[in-house]
Amino acid sequence: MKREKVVVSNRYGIHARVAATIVKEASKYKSDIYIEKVDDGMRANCKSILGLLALGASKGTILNLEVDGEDETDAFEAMKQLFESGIEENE
Amino acid sequence: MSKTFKGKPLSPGIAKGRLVFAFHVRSEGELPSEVGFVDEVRRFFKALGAARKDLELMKARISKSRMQKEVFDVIDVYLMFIEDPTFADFVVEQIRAGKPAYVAIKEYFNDYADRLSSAGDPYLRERAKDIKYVKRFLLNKLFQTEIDWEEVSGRGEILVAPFVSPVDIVNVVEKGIKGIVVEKGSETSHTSIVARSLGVPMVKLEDATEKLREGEVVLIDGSEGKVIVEPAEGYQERPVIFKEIPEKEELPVEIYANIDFPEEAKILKELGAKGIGIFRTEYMFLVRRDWPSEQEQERYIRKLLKHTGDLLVNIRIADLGGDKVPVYAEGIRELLDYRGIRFFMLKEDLFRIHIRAVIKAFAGRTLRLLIPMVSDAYEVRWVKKVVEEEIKSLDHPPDEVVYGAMIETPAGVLEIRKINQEVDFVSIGSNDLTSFMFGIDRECRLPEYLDPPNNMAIVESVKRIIRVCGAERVTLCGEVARSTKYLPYLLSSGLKKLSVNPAFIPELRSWLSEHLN
Repeated sequence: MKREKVVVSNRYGIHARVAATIVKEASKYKSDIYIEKVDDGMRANCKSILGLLALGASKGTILNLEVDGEDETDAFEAMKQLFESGIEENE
Repeated sequence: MSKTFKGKPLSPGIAKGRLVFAFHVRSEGELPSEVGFVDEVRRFFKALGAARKDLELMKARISKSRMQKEVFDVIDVYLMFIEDPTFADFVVEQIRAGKPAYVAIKEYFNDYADRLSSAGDPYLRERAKDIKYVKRFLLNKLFQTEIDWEEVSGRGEILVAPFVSPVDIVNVVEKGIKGIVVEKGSETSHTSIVARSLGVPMVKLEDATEKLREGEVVLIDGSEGKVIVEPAEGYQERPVIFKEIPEKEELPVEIYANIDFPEEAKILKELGAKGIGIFRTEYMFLVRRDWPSEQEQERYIRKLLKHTGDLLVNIRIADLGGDKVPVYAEGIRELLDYRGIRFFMLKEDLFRIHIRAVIKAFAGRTLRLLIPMVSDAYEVRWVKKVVEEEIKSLDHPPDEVVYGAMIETPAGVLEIRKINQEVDFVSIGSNDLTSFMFGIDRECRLPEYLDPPNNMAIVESVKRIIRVCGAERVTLCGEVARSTKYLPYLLSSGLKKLSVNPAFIPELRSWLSEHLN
């Protein structure tokens, strides 16, 4: 299992379209992909749009990114990069 | 005996037809309480598939129609809600534990809706409504109790429903429904915007499903907000908006269009409009789920310019506030207290993003910039200063910037001399001016004794503005500009330019040609 801290850098946090982008990316991989808010331990499945929305993660929230599964190396890199890039919301 | 119900106009035009009721009737109480696991799971997946198919179909149709894509971005998110893997897992598990599918669906969505509504973030509270809508959509599929479009024969009928979603309205058009009566809805709702852009008359009538009866012949007047049961013979159906346009004879009055979406500009030449009196940029804020970036705003305005050709275009700075507060901005205190330019004066950072996008979109052209809600000349000077600063920082500025002020407060009318010295043209926003002048809600109709010739407050205001600015520089916008009660007084005062919703242009043209030529 791979685990590392990432930060939400989008202006309005994880709102619907950002969540949709995360789900689309996470769904490409077989691994289980979770994020967990460091401050209160709330977790969300990155393949679940409602779970991500319900996190209510605003800009600056620190998250633990956890990836576990057969393609975890690729999945972890892709997800980490997605968070670091600030998750481009443009279509 | 004919009988008239007075409601609220949501989308103009007149349509006559037999009433067809279409709404959700069966309740979940009729369902068996004992459920077999396999059957119930199968039923759940069938509903899920049906919902997904509907949404996909909707997406495909929308991409072909001339509707604004942003309005329906929401469908993509709905699809993700129902395709969420945790959703199916949860429901199947609950069914295994002996619960019926509908209970599991409700539990899942209600749980998320509760969590989002308690988040204290207005954006998430709004998403809770989306979740509830998706829940209803799925339950309707499960019970097969949604508007049953198979049963609606459609063509030539008037639909009555408690509520019509923006998703339903695509079906309305495909079925050839001529008009809609709803119990709930507002002028600014997405459904109304879609109805207007598709030319389907729509009226809001409270308790319509109780006041009206299935099969009755009614005439609905979407311009006046009337529903007339068993109308007298003389009542003429008026062709639905964009289809028939009266001959384009020359009129002594220029007609412009107030538009909300870039796509609407495509039809203006056909309608005989001289140009765009107001392009309301606020819709690029309202149909979204977050603040649009500078690039997105610029793209949106460039899209408009693709369709305008040599038409005159007045771009209005976003008139946010009042009834136009984007859901994601509900937390911004200033937006509740201030409107139009005064909001942006308090949020200069947001204004600079907005104005840069507008300026950049007009690189190498003449930018006619309309400032909303001007009450004092200082507001115009403030805008000019910011615009000039921003222009200096750009490589490709507009050739020229021409400033206009929207006069829509009594203060603006009284201060018109000083305001006029700062601007090149003036547009009178008659809807807001009427509301502020009489202290009456925008959505409300004035009692008759406040109309001219008895009460001349609005007429006198327009006359004063024409006297100070000169008729060439004044355009009258809004409802008053197409009101046959007002027009005789206004035109005799020298008014030369009118700007109305494109849907009303054919009506207005025929009235003018009858009375002026």
